[in-house]
Amino acid sequence: MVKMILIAIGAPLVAFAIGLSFMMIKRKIVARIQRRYGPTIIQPIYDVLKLLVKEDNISHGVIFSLGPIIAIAGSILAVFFIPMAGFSMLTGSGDLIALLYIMAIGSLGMALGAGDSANPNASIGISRALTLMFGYDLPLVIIVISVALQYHTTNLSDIVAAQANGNWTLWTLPLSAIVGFVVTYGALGEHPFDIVTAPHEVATGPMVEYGGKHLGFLMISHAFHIYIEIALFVDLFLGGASNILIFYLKMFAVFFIMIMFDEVLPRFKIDDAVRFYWKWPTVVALISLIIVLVK
Amino acid sequence: MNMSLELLLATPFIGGLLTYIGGKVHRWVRNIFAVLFSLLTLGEMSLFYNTTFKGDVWGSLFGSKLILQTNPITWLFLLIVTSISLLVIVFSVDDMKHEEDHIVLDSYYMQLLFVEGAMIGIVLAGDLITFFMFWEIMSWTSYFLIVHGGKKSMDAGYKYIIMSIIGAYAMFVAIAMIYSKAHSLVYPDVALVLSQSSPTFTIWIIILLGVGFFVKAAVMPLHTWLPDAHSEAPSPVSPLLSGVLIKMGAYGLFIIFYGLMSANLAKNIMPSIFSTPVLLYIVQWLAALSIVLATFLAIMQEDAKRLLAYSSISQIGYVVLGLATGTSLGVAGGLFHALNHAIFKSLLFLAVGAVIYRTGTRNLSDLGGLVKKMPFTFVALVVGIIALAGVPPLNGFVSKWMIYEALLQKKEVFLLIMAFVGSTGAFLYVYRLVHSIFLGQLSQKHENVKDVPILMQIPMWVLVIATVIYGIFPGLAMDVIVKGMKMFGFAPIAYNLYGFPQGSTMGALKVINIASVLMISFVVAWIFFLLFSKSRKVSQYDNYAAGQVVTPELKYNYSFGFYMSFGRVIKPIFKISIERIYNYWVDAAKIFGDYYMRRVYTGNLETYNSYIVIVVTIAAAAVLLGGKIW
Amino acid sequence: MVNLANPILLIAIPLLFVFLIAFSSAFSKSIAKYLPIFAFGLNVVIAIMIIPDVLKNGLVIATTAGFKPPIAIDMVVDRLSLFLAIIASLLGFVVSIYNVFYIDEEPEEKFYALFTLLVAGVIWMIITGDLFNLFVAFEVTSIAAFGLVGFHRDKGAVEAGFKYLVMGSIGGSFLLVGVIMLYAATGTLNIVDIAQKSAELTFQQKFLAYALIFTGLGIEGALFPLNAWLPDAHPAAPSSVSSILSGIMTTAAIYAIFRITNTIFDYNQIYFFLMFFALLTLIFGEVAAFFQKDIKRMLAYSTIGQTGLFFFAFTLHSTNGLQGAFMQIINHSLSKSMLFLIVGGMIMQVGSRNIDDFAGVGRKMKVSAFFLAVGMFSLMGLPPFFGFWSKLKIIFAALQQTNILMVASVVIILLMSVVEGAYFFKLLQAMFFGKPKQDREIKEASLGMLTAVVVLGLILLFVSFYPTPIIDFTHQAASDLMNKNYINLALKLGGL
Repeated sequence: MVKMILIAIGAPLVAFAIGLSFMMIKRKIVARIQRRYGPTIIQPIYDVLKLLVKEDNISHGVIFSLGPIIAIAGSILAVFFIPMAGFSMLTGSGDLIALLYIMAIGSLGMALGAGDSANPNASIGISRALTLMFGYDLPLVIIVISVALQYHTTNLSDIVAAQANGNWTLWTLPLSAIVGFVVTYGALGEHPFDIVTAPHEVATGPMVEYGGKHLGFLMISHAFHIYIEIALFVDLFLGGASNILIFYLKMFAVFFIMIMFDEVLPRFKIDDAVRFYWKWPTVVALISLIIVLVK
Repeated sequence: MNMSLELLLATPFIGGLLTYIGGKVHRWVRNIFAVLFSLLTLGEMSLFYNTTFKGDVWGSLFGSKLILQTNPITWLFLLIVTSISLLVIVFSVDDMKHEEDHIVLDSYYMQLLFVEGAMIGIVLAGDLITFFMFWEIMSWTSYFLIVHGGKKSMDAGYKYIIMSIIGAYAMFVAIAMIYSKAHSLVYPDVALVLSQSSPTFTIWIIILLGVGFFVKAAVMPLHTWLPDAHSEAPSPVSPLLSGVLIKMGAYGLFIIFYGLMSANLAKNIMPSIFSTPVLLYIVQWLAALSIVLATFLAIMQEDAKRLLAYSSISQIGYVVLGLATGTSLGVAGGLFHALNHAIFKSLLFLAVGAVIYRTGTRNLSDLGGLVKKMPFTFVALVVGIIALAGVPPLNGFVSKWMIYEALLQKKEVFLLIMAFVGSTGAFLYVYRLVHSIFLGQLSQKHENVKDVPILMQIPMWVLVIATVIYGIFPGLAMDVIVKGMKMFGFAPIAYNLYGFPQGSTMGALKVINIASVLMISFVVAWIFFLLFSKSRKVSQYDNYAAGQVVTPELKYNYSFGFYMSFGRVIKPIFKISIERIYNYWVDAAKIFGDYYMRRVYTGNLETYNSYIVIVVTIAAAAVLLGGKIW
Repeated sequence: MVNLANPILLIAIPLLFVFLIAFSSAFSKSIAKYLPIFAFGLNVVIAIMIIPDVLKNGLVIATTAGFKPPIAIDMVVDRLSLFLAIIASLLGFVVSIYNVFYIDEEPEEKFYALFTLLVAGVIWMIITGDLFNLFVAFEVTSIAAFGLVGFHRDKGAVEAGFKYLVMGSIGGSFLLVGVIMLYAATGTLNIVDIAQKSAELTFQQKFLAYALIFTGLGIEGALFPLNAWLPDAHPAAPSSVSSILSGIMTTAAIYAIFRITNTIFDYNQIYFFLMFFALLTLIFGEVAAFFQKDIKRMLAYSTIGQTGLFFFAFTLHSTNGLQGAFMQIINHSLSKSMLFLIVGGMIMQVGSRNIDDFAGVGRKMKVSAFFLAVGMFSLMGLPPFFGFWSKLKIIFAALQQTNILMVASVVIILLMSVVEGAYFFKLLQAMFFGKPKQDREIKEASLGMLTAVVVLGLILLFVSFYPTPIIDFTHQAASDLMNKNYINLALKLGGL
């Protein structure tokens, strides 16, 4: 019982820590790629703290304030459903398919909040976010189906267990893994898919009216978001991990490669992003799916 | 007890007449009668919870017995019919007040009750004549409900009734063909005949019956009546159409697939793909296409009710997709989704109806920011859209999840992908709905809008509660569905009150855990949020506008063409319009018919007399020549 | 005591009243108005009094002039002709009531005389037992109808009446020639007698006559393509006359074809030949009705379509088919004559026959519109109205053998039902939900006219919700025909 409570409290904290650490590292690496020195490594922590303790917060209404809260609540919920280094937590209460929809709760809450800000930039941002989501969702569901069929289960713990002894999905279904990587990219809104926030176009989109503790909450939820997307990728394709360190290392590897691509690519137009996802990633994912079916 | 099935069927019809007569006395007599009788029907219906009656003969016609029967599956549909009808009638009391012509209102309530009665008849029918009879009654009574909605609704209703008649006559042919073989149309006899006939015959029967049900269930490509009819009908009628009426098509499909033609029969007479008989497989594909294409169309709509109407086509696609899988899980999912869709789609239509009631428009780009004025309606709509999008922990999620699992088990991956895509697309259009109505900028002309009166709120409350309860405790519905499906020869699926253990499904589901953890994390996050300094409320005009000042006159809102960029992606798909194809053929037939009619009936006596000569000649020639042959 | 349950009275009374009307008008015009009501009221009573006899024996024969058949003129009433006679008398009665309030044009007394003559002729056609009588009745009916169609004496009416006159006369002569040919061959005019003797005839003797009789009766019976007079004549006539023409006169001619074919020329090939005409009639009637702008023309074409439908059911040549045909006849007679009566009242209010002018009328003339809807639903075959039962029966009968020809016919019938639905719903929709034109004050039809409508409407509703007696009765009538009970009983009861 105590252990359960510990996990219940610990898991979100660990997830947050991992996400935050990635946010820290990212800024540093990006700066180095761009031949800058970059901010100090704990700058994101400063940012979050500063925002949270700001005295003057503005709100456009109840839903506006609820948005970031739901975003975090949804993220915490999703964390419990992703096996983290041996702890499976709530994976018995919802499988991979349920997880796909659980992950949407936070985004929906966020979208509601942003919509209430009565700013067209936010609305456009949400419109883009949902469109982009529709784009990457098609290849995503295909690879999810491939993996589920590969292991004859949709239980994430079982999927992780089946990849024990280095028998990773990355090796058995390399094509799916590649598509999964591209999808994770879009899901994180990294370059070239930073269409949603695109500062030069829609003034950071959904976040345009957010400030103070609201924005701080959004940054926290972004940290969770990074964790969720990459952890899911690790669980699906890199065999999860038996302890937290290996889990962290695997996640870091994925994230590192991601950033390498990140900064060198220009931004897609929104409809081109959808077209892109519905073209090659989908085709490749389908090929992989057919391989699983035939096998 | 036997009497009460007939009583249940008669109550709404008698109630309808009394309501009409009551309207002559006073409008409140009418309203109270309408509510009372639908309540009575609901009460009578609830007596049959999980009971089974086979065959209660209520008459006979042309040597075939007319039978009423009930079982848990019919109970499920009865629940949908009677409860939504009741809520709709309660909602109508205020919503239809603006109609001044009292006779229109009297007949409106009468027709509502008649439609309810007809649908009860369809569900209770134990033979095809009873079924068909009430099916037709449902068609024309609901037609009158649709055309109550004003000028545009007339064209919609016309299209609806014509397509309904076509569908019904397709069924009619099938029923007559069965009658010629069986001389009885009671379901078991029909099942017997189908199992003994030649495969060609059986397949024809299924196709013809299927066309009738497809029209009503609005499965593509026979859906063209639905978007017009559902959006042009009066607000309280739309939930009845979208929530309940199209479910009759689903019920019909269930009856032919599993009542009249057992799954084994289908397997024996036709080849299978993915262990699905080929005909069912085609049905699955049509359903999946409905899901995806209707979703795309819904995303592009600018009219709230049209959006919901297209969404109905898409959601009924899930129901049909589930029903056609043939596995216990899939069929159970399909039936459950029928119930869930009835609940949340009615909720959504009522919420939109409430908005229309207050603002008088359903054009999405004219609305916005109403959350501050109609908070309750907002909550109702949000609950509805979350359920519709299939997000846990509300009811739409559970049934969709069951359908996904069933498809995954059968490895029907392409259908599964389409089902998933439709569900993600649903995020787009449901967000559009809530954003354009309730979020964004509140327009000046809606400054004085209030929330709807209590009588219109009650139905929404009830549906909100139902959405949550069936979401968190899917076992409540599964009790009925699993028990009923056992009678149709399905293996029972493992379930408990909160969800499904791993076993009959590929992964486990326990919605209560999802819900409670979500609640806890929400509360934690909220408390955490409150720890920091309080926020200050600002007006909607105090907003970032790149240095400009937002004034009330300025429309500073993004609403029209919300997914314009996405529209560019899917544009190639909409070059083909099924409706245009139909219209083309109808027009061609009209021109052809008109031309030849003018040629025949020229109005010229000489022509007419020459016809007489021709006929005599033909007759005589037939006699003289025929005589040699006979 | 005189036995009042005598079929001859069914004809004798109206014919007597025709003279009474002609004489009475010399003294008082208003008496002439009411006399037809008495005539047909008596007729209905007598027809009902005949029912027990017919139910008991299956057949009632009445002869005249002291001779014995086959020489005597005889009236033969079996179940089929009885119910048609009842319908005819009933319609005559109801429409007579309507006429009192409807006809306001001179010369009234002539109208009433002709009207009574028309219905009397129809009844005569129905219950006659020999072919020459049939011809006479046919001519009586036609002459009355010619006059009535042209009654309005405007250009359209005169032209329609003339067309009808020409075609009807051709039909009459064909019929006469056909009858003469049969008489020459068999030496008798009695239908049963001919049926007895026809076995000896050569093929050509028989069927050439049949071809002529068929064509002659087909002209009156609205079979395609002989029906071209009908769409002109029915709309041109006063609505009450259209009601009789559509409701029972066409049916009576079709009945005559039934009777002759079934009794004398009972060959499968003939039925096949007739089916062809039936389907053509159905298609052309319904499709043409779809394109009409004139409400009465639309109903007239719809009559053609309905005729095709029950004629088709008749050509199925089975008990079920005949039963379906009879049920459909009841449905059509009641509904269509009611529709014409209602439309007559509406035209008086609207002042136009154009469908577009009827927008919104339904909300002003509530009772009329309600029964209009009932009648149309019944004609379309929507449950729970009577038309549904008859259509069900016809389709079931047609698909008794699921061969491809029958399936094709059924598909045609149902497609045409869709077309029918299309134009009826278009009208109903405009009537109930359309925007009314403001230029005219529209009131409900007068009480007397409504009475007639309501009587028919209630009868229709009654048989709709309680169809069992009609179903049983028509089933018995159909199996009588199929078993040749007409001939057998006629022989037994000394009709010959």
